[in-house]
Amino acid sequence: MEVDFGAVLAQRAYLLQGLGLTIEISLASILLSFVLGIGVALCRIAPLRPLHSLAGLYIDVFRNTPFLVQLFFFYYGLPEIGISTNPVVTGTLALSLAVAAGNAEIIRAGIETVDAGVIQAARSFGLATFNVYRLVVLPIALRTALRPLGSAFVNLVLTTSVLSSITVNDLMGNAVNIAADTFRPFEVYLVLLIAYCAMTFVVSGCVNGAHALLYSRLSERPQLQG
Amino acid sequence: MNLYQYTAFVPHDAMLIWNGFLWTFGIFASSTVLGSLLGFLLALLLHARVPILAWLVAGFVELFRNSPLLVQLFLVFYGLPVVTSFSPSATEAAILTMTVNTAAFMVVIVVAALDAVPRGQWHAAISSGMGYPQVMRLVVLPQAVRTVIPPAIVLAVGQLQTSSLVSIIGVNELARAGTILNNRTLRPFIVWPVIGLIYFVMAKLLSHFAARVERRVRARITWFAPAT
Repeated sequence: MEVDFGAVLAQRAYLLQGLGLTIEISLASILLSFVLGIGVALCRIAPLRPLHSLAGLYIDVFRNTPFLVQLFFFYYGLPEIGISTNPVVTGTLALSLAVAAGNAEIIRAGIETVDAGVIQAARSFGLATFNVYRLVVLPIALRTALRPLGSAFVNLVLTTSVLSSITVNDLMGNAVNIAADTFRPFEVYLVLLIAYCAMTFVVSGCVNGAHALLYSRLSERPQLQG
Repeated sequence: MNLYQYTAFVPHDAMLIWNGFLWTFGIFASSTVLGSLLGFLLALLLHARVPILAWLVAGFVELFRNSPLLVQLFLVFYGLPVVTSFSPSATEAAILTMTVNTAAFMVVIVVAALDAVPRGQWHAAISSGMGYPQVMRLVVLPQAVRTVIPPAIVLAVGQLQTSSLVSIIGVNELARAGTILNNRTLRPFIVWPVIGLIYFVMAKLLSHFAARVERRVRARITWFAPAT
């Protein structure tokens, strides 16, 4: 059988609609997992023992179980205890929770590389602990964590395809329908392969841009002499 | 007819889960071993800058690292039989796709490790009369292996979890056993934590044994031991 993209291209509007949902889910999850990751990382380094252990447990569980199992647990399991679920919302939340666990580890590693002297200097200026973290530690830590966070976000975009298994009509979900309708699975999934590659290149491009921006701003600052 | 007459858990379910565990382990182990070997070979091609082949490898790596495993799986399982005479079973498609996927990630890890071996090592080995194969085998690879192991462990733990996706094309592994139990007993709130726990324990055991292997390898390659 010959390779023929005609049938797939005829369905491009439907594919683009799925692409739109994939982008929306990705953006929402990136934002949510980033914020959640910072929160969990701060809990992880907090001196309060229960908070510290709880954050550790969360990271351990979510990083060492498959996303598919987590997704099925939330999507099929929550209704059992009376919480109704919606594929898109549950999927986005589950994805954010899973990625946030990895982000928390990345951000914690970033925080730990911040020089102790910098923190002591900030303290000696009379900054409260909250401000030390907000103004000094986190900006440095997040800049260090930028690249690993970028690859976590690339992974996030790829993982959105798993949401199709709980009936989300994202790019993957719509592609499965088109493959079933047109009997052209090879062409459909080849197009999808390229489409996901394009999306991840955009994400890594943004990360590289942000990286260049942050580090050039750093070097532009007046340096102390002596 | 009572629709809910089979919803209770029965002793045989343990066998279903055990069987799923064996399949998950088999698919994970075979694809990780094969994928690592393939990744090493491709990395050598890329590192040696073999004309044309190196570009092909680079293209393959970018394509497979930047697309979802699910798409690759569907491409092999549903796509290939339509356009070629190769029609893999679900298990074959799963192992093939996981192998290729693992190899793509492995290439990047190995190339980075090869690049991390100082140029001076090359110069020293070549000036003592070794050819490329000897330098690679006796000097560079042993040092690179040390650097490869930690990221390779992270990759393997990740691939163990990603292997759950092959349940979607119908391989009877652990996640699929979970789906079957979920659909029959209608108790997802119990089924999925149990399945998750098995994956969790597998991942922990894997990290544990990998760390032991790493210590052994490091102990054996002591001739290259910078002061740090």
